[in-house]
Amino acid sequence: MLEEKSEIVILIIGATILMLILFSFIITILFMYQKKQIAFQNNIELMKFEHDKNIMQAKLEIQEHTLDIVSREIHDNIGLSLTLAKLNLNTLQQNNNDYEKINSSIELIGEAIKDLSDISKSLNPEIININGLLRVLEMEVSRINKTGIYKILMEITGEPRFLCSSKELIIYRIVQEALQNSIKHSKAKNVQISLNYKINELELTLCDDGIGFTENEFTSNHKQTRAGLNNIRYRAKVLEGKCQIQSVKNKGTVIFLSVPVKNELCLKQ
Amino acid sequence: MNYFTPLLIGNYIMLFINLSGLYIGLFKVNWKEANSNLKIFPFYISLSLLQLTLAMAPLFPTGIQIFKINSLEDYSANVFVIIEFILFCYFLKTTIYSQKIRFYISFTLILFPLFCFYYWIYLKSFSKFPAIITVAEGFILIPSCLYYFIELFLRPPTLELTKESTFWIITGILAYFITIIPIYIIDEYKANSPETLNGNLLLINTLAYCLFVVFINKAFLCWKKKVKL
Repeated sequence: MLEEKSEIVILIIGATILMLILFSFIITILFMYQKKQIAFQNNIELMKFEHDKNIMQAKLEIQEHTLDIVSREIHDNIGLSLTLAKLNLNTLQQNNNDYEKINSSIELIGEAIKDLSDISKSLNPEIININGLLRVLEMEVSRINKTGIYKILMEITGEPRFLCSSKELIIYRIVQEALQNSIKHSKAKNVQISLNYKINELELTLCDDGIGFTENEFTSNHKQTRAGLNNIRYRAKVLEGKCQIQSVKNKGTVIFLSVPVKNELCLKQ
Repeated sequence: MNYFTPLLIGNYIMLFINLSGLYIGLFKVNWKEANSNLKIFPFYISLSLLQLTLAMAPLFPTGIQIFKINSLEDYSANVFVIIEFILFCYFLKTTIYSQKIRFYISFTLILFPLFCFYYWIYLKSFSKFPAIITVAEGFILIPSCLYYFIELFLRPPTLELTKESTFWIITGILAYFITIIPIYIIDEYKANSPETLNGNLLLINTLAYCLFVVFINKAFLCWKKKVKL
């Protein structure tokens, strides 16, 4: 009887050990598989991010190429045509009675030539290579300030340094896009641009006093604003930077961009 | 006659689990949408139930009168093992992707019945409980089952493992054979052991089999739609 009882105890212990081994095997497999799944998901996300980044980069390159062509067209064709028109008007001026009208036309054409030249320069990607980000931003600010309608302030803190021209060009396009949004859609009168050069990153803040927008408005209406802000986000992604856009209705919008500039090896002449 | 010995209780549990497995397999799975390789298991459980009935019948006084052939349960167990092997091979072959392992399964599918026939005819053991045949079956199936787990980690982890019927069935097959192989080897080489030891070993076998059928039931409950590749 005692022997039978001890055998049953051994049996129960054996069965329990067996069960424990089996369950630990299943749990281990499930745990390892889940771990692999998480790593796989992360890998897929990384690949997706890289893929998106490459697509965006390609898009931006195409866009830059198009802008370059437009810039050259403005400079070589439209600019030339206007210059010729101005010269023609100059020759007319000497023997014509409508002196004032012609003079005013010459002035208007002159302004158009100047504006077109500025636009052509700002569209041309080479401008960054030639002048660098800070100089180009200053030119852009002064071009807008010249209109007298808007007041753009630029503030630079930290120790400015040159970045890769491709990076600087993207930052420049972000600022252009943001300024266009502030002026065209937000109807802002004052815009402040702050550039803060830190050791490992560059922080760019753009504040305006425009009409702003709510989250609902952003998702439902203002297709162009949305496209513009999305462009800013895409470009920030290409730079592997962080982009935050905050807006308060009737108060204004703040765009914050942080771009890593660690181990920046690109040198500028 | 004591109808509540540990072995009989184990058999009652097995009977209940098998019946519930058959019920789940027949009525709870949408077979039009489920993976086709699961379809063999209701048939397998039906066979298992038949085998269990034949094994339990001699334990009851009336049972012996119904089945007048001596050692009928051992004859049927021999047949059951070979059908079980074919079904498991089919299941593993449709589950595993590796061509080499598929070839190995196909090869053993020919080799194993030949071994069984040799064992039955030349050693005149068709009327004996097929312990060695079961051990051989286990040794043949275990590598394929283990390879399933290797493949599981070699392939992209896109499955939800807890809802993967093949995972539960293969885990069940693996656990069952890993448990019973030592028991059957001990049973074969220590034939002169006291009766209680053999009875307890058989009880472990019964419990391991119950666990395997529970795993099949779990697999039935996580049937999923066919994936068109």
